Amino acid sequence: MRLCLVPMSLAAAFAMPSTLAAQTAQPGGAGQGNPAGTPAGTHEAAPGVPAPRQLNQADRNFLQAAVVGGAANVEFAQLADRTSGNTGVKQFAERTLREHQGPSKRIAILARNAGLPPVQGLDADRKATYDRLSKLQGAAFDRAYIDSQITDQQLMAQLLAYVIGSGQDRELKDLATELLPTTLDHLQAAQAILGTLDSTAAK
Amino acid sequence: MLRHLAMVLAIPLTCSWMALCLAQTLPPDATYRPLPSASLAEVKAADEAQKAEVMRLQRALLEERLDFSDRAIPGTTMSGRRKAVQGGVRVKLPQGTTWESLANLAPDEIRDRGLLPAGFMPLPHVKQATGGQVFPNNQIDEIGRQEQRNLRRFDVDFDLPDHLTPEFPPPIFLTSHPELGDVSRAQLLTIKNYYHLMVGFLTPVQLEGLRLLLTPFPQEEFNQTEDRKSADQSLGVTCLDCHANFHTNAAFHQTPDVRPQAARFRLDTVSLRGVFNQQIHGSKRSLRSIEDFSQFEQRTAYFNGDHMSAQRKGVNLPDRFDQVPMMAQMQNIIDFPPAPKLLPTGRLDPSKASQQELAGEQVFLGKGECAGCHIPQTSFLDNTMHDLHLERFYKIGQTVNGLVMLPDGPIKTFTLRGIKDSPPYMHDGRLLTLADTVEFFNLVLRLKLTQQEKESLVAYMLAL
Repeated sequence: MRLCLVPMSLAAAFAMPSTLAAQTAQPGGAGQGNPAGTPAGTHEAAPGVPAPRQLNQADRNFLQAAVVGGAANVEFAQLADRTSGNTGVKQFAERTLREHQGPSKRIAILARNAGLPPVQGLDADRKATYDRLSKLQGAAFDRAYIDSQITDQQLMAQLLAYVIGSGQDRELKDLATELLPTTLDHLQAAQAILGTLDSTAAK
Repeated sequence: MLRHLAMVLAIPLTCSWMALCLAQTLPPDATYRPLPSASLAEVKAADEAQKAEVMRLQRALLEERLDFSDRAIPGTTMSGRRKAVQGGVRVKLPQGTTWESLANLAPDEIRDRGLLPAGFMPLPHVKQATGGQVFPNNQIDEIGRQEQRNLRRFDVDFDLPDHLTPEFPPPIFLTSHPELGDVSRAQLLTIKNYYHLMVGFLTPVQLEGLRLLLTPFPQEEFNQTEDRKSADQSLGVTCLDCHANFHTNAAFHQTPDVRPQAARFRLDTVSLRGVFNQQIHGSKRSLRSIEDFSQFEQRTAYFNGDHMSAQRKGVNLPDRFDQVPMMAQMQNIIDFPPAPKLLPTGRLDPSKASQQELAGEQVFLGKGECAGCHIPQTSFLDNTMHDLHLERFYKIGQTVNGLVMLPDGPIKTFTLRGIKDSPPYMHDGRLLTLADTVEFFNLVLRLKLTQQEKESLVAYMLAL
C-alpha cells in the first residue's frame, strides 16, 4: 500500500483523521463497513477499524470511475457552456462547472493519495459521446448533452451508493455520503430540463 | 479539441487499471456479492471488534427516532393472550412541531425545512453494509434449546426491544379446523416437534410441506463456508425461523430486489396468516403465487437474490412438481386469528362493536381513505402494489447508518386482519404501534384527521 504521495499542504487539507475518536461514526453517516470486504493484511487503527487510506477493492473501483467521470462532467459542461443557446441547458452546465470542480479535485487527491496512477482524458464511451456532441448544434446538441448528463448522473448515483456500502475508507465514504444528495439533485435537474426540450430533436 | 485528443492519446496503453474504467460500466460487485478477501478468523475478529460500536450506532439512531417505553394498551392483548399490545405514538416529533402543525404543511415545505419525523423515514438494517437475516433472541434461544442449531450472529444483535415485537411463540390457526382455535400448544414449531404436535391435525401432504418448511438449509450468513456470520459451521436456517409458527417474530432482512447494498431497504418479516387470500407475494417482487414465493425464497430471503452465492453455499432447490406444492398447501391452511366483531363481509357487527370501533370503521371507509387499498371484503387486501411517494417529504440521497435513503417505489398492500399481532409496522418495521401508522398516513395522505378520529381508527384496527 502506497501512502501519502501528495505534498504535505494538500495532505493537510484533505487529511484523514488518524485518531480512533475521529473514526467513530455517527448514525447519520455511512455506518460500519463489512469486514468481509477488507483485504487480508490491512493495517488497523484499532481492532476492526481499518487505518486511514487503507483502501479495499470497492474504494479503488470508485476512485477510478469517479476520477474519470468527474473530469468528464467538467469537460462536457464547458462544451455545453460554449455551444448551447438554451438558457436551461446553459444554467445546468454552469451549475455543473460551479459544483463539480471542487468534488472532482477532492476525488483526484484521494486517488493520488491512494497511489492510483493519474488519469488523463476521457474514457472511450465518453470520448465517443464528446466527439458526437462536438458536431451538433442547437436543439440536437441540447438533447444529446442532457441525455449524456442523465446517464452520467445515474451512474454516479449508483457508484456513490456502491462505495458507501462496500467501501472501507472512512474519508471516502464520508465524501460519498456528502455528494450523493447533490448528485441526485443534479439528476433531477437534468431530467426536468429534458422535459422542456424539443422532443423531435435528434438523439 | 486537438489538445484534448492529444491528452487521450497520451494515455499509456499498458496501463491496465485504466482499461477497467474506460467504459461507463459500474463495478460488477455492485450486483454480485464478492467473496471475502480475508480469512474467516480475521473477518470474525474484526466483526466482533466492531460489534459494540455497531449496536451503539443503531441504538442511538432508534432512540433519536422512537420512544421505546413500555406502554401497553390496558386490557388489550395479542391473539394468543401472551403479550400486551403497545399503544401511543412512538415516533418523535421534530422540535417545535406538533402532529397538527405538520399536517397543515405541504409536502414540499416539510421536505425543504427537514421536518419529516425521522421515525417516518426508512429504517436501516442494524448493519447495513453486511445486511442479512437477524433473529430475535427468543427465536435464537428456542431453536438452540430444541435443535442445538445456532442462529446467533457474531457481528450483530437484534435491535428492537422485546415488548415491541409479536408474542412468542405465536398462536397457530388452521382454516381446516376453525373450531379448534390455536393449535400451537404454546410451542414453537420446529423440526424436532412438528410431527408430534401436528400429526392427526394435518393431511400427509400438509405434514410433508411442514417438514420442508422446518428443514434448515444453508443461507447467506448461516452456512458452512468461510463467508458466514455464525461462529460455527451452521446447519442453516428454515422458512419458519422468521415466519415463526407461520406468523412473524419480527426477524428482519434486506430487500433482495435492490442494488447496490447501501440502497437495500430493511424488510420486516411478514405474517403468513391468511396467505390463501393473497395474490401477490414479496414486498417488492410481486410474485404471483405462493408456489413461486416458496420456491424462490430459497434464493431471495436465503441468498439476497444472488443465485451465484446460493449455488456456492448449498442452495436448496425444492422440486416444483412435488415439494413446492406441499409447502404451498401447508401455508395455505394458515388462518387469521379470530375476530369475533367482524361479519363475513369484513364489516364490523354493530351488535358487538363499541361506538368508538364503529366510528373508526367509518373513518377507515371514508375520510381516512384506508379502504381504498385495505378492502374489508377481501381480507383488507387489494392485491396491488402502491407507491406512497414518501420522498415528497424528505430529501433523497441522505445516508443514515449506512442506508441510502431513496424512494421505496411501489410496495404491496399488507393485510390488516389480526394486525395488532404484527408489530412493528410498514414493510421495514419503521413504526412501532398502530397509533404511529395512523399519524403516518394522516401526514402522507394529508387526511387532517381529528384526535378523536385517530383514536377511533386505532380502536377499529385492534378489533380486526
